[in-house]
Amino acid sequence: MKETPYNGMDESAYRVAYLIAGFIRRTLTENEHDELDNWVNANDHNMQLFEDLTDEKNLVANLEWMDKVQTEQSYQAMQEKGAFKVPLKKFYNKKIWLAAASVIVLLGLFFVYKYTTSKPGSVEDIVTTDTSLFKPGGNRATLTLADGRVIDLTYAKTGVIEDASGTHVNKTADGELVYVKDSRATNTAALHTLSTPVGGQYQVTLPDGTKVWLNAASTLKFPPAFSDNERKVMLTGEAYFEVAKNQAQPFKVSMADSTDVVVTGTHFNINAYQNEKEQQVTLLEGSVIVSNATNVAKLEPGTKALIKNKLITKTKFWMQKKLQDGKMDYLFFMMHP
Amino acid sequence: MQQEQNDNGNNYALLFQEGNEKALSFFYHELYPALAHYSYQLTLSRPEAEEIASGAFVKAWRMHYKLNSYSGIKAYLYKIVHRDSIEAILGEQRRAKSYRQLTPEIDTETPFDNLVRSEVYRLIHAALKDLPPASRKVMIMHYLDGKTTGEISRELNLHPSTVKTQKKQGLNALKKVFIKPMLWLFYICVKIFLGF
Repeated sequence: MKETPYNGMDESAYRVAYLIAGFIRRTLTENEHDELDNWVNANDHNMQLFEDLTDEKNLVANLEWMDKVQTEQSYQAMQEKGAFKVPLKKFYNKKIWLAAASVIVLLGLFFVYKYTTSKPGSVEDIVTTDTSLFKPGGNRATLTLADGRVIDLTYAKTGVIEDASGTHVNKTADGELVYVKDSRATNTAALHTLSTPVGGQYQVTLPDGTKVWLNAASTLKFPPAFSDNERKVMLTGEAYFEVAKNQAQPFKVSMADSTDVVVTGTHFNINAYQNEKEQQVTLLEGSVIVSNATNVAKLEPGTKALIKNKLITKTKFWMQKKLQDGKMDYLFFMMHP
Repeated sequence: MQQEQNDNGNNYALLFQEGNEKALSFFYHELYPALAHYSYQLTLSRPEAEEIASGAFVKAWRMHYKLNSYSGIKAYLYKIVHRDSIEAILGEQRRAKSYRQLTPEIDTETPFDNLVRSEVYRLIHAALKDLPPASRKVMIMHYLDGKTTGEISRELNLHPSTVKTQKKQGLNALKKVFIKPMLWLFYICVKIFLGF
């Protein structure tokens, strides 16, 4: 007999029933008879049950009761009711399972392949503007001071350039301009303008330590001394910023169409040429908030904002290298496609 | 003989597990009366008992893939019938009264008793079901009461030859095994000892 998980009571009940029925039908073997006798004599309860079950009147009554059970009709009625219609589990449909499993595996492989071989954000994403602007550049720029004087930085000697307001501006090297924070400077409304021609580029360190790489045909307007509550500059064209951290003084870059980029210590690039329909703010490190009259977008590293028709859309771009080393490569990419 | 039955039953059990409706029919016809009988011992209502019994088959059929042995299927069905019968009478103050003459001192209504009862009568009923009722009565009287042909014919108002024929039919139906005279004597002794 097969093993069953059911308890011993059932099994012994079946055995006793078999023995008693066999007794009544007189079909027991000698051993079976002994077995029955042992059970009957084991206790009064067993004896009572045996007597009850072998009582003729009981036997007749119970058999008559069972006679009245309309098994076939009941079965037919159940079938017609659809009572036995259940989803049958078929364990032997291995073929179907295998087929389904292999399809799923193949699909999975397909998608993995697709995902790993596509380039999220190709090189074109980084270089966006008309390549004619990116001629091999030289360090050429002009600086317009508050008093209106224009200084051609290309040919200026390295050294201090004095401004009427008393700010010290230092041309430290070819292509580099450094502003020193001067506590004496009072007139914060005055603006300096750094301007690069087509094919030119220049780097300036602002009085707060922020470094700006100005790309070709671009203009950066900034105060030689920042106001206390914010550091505000204006940009047309393209520039790469490395903003010095100062939570108390948010750094704000305004673009011609009054799109603002607010930062708190980050590395990012702004592309906002006036003749282009679209401006872009590309964030490499830190965080910026790009906003205009109608929209706001907060960027995380590796995302950029596209500003077009006053709409700001965020997209991801692919940062090729970790920033410390990669910045110069990145800038190189920007300026020399 | 029990072994043969088991093999056959277990073959059907495997078919049952696979969801074969022939197996469902086999078990239904084999066990339905006994399951209804079992429920009746508790509910004392035939319609309710039959409903519970057929309901048990529906439930067991839903679990067909888990059941793969004759005794497993039978036990599962009895369990369901037991549970559903108890539930049916729980709300009411019905008590399973004894519907047979019994000495009230000893109660033979435990679940074990009820199970044995249903199974005994199932086996007997199955063996006798092909006999006409008259033969059946003759069989019972003869074997249980040890009544002679003469006694039976007087009691049932039948001609002795009729009684004999019916006895013979009954014997054939029961596939009687050769019984030693000693057993018969022992049987009588037991009866004397037990005092009936």
